[in-house]
Amino acid sequence: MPQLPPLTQHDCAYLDYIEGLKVYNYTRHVKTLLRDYDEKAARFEEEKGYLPSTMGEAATLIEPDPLYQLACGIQRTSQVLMWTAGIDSVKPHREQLLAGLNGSAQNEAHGRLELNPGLKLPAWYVENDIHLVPGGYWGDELVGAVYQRVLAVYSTSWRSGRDPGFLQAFAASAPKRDYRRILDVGCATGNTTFALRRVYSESEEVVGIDLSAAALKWAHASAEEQGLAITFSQRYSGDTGYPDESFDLIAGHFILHEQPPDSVDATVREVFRLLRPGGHLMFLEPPPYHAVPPQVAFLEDFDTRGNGEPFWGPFLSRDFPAVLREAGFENVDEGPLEYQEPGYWGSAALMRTGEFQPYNRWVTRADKPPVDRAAKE
Amino acid sequence: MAERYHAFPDPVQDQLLGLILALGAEVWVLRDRITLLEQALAERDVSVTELIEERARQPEHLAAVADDRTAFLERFLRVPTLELKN
Repeated sequence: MPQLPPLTQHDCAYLDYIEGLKVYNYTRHVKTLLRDYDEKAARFEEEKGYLPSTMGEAATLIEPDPLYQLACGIQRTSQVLMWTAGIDSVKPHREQLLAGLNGSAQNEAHGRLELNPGLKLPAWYVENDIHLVPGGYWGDELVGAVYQRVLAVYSTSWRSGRDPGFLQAFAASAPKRDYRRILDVGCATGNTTFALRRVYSESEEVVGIDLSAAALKWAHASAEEQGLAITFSQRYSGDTGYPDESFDLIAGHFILHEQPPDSVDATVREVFRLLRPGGHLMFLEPPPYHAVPPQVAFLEDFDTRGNGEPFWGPFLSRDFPAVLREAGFENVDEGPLEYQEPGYWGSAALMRTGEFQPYNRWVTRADKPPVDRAAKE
Repeated sequence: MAERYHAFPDPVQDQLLGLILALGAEVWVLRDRITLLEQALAERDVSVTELIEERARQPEHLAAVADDRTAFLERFLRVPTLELKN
């Protein structure tokens, strides 16, 4: 990892406060909301003869609660404070960091960085500050450094130490061990791409694509420092420009819920085109709403309105396996990632109550039909 | 651009919560620094913590800071005070 500037006492204490604020909110307020929900749901059943079964019904029991409003307000404020703390911690070192990143961009000892200044960024990408990061993930040249600085606080593992094991587990969960060319869609600062490279050390090429030049620069610098041979390329997942059948494994981590439905559809079509016959895809996302209790779906849906993720709810409400089947994929399957992360808090903001839930890391897998079957059809 | 999110019925309440939580962060940073300062001095055999506790109880200290305290409260409550007067 490129060298992040050292943390001052101010940085440490500020980030510690923010993580403490989030943890307090989840383990006290959200747990109380869930406990109170059980009582309210029991009364609902007495009145109506059935338990709440939809997110809308759960919302009627939770939304009016002032404690829910407070929990949402705290979560949103903690996110805003988190990004400002991250930005403040790297700002004094801006020139030095940029010099390092730009120098590293020329270094191709192990991998390659391909930037495309002419790439037109989609309107939905530039008009929305995803996760409330000021300027989005593309606006500031140092967003990669800021993201890496606060990632542990974001996942409330700043003090406990972030366990990267789940990325290794995800990377290793593909059906084969000998992929030739692997693509990581929406790679950001490269954490999933690094895991893919390490797990499939014999593959000819591992490629990470993203819309953000800033994130890719950081990813490339990190990869070079770790001695990982990865190509990072600035491309849009819905129209990459790669030739047909370029890859035999395509993966993505927490990327689809950041795109509007038509972009998800374009990405699925593009992934189908890019995969070799018999190739595999796997996408790791938050659990779809149909896989969780309605009150969990409602609490997780906070991210749609309150965390700068307007496409979260639309994606998690969709039947994504059906989208894949419609595109021509077969053996479509979805379910929890087989990995019990110690101390893992959860994937969506308001559900990080400290109790491990197996559905928190949800993987959808599919295969492109092999040549002979595709030819017959 | 999506409509701005607010958790409370009145968006002003969101702003107030934001101010208060940001203030909390500043207070925490200062508390942490003071704790570290006292620990560092104690390692050099300067028991500033005991000195502080001793002085805090002295009537002279309360008298000495009374004017400062009043000035602090006037600054702190300046805005609502002005608003109510108007």
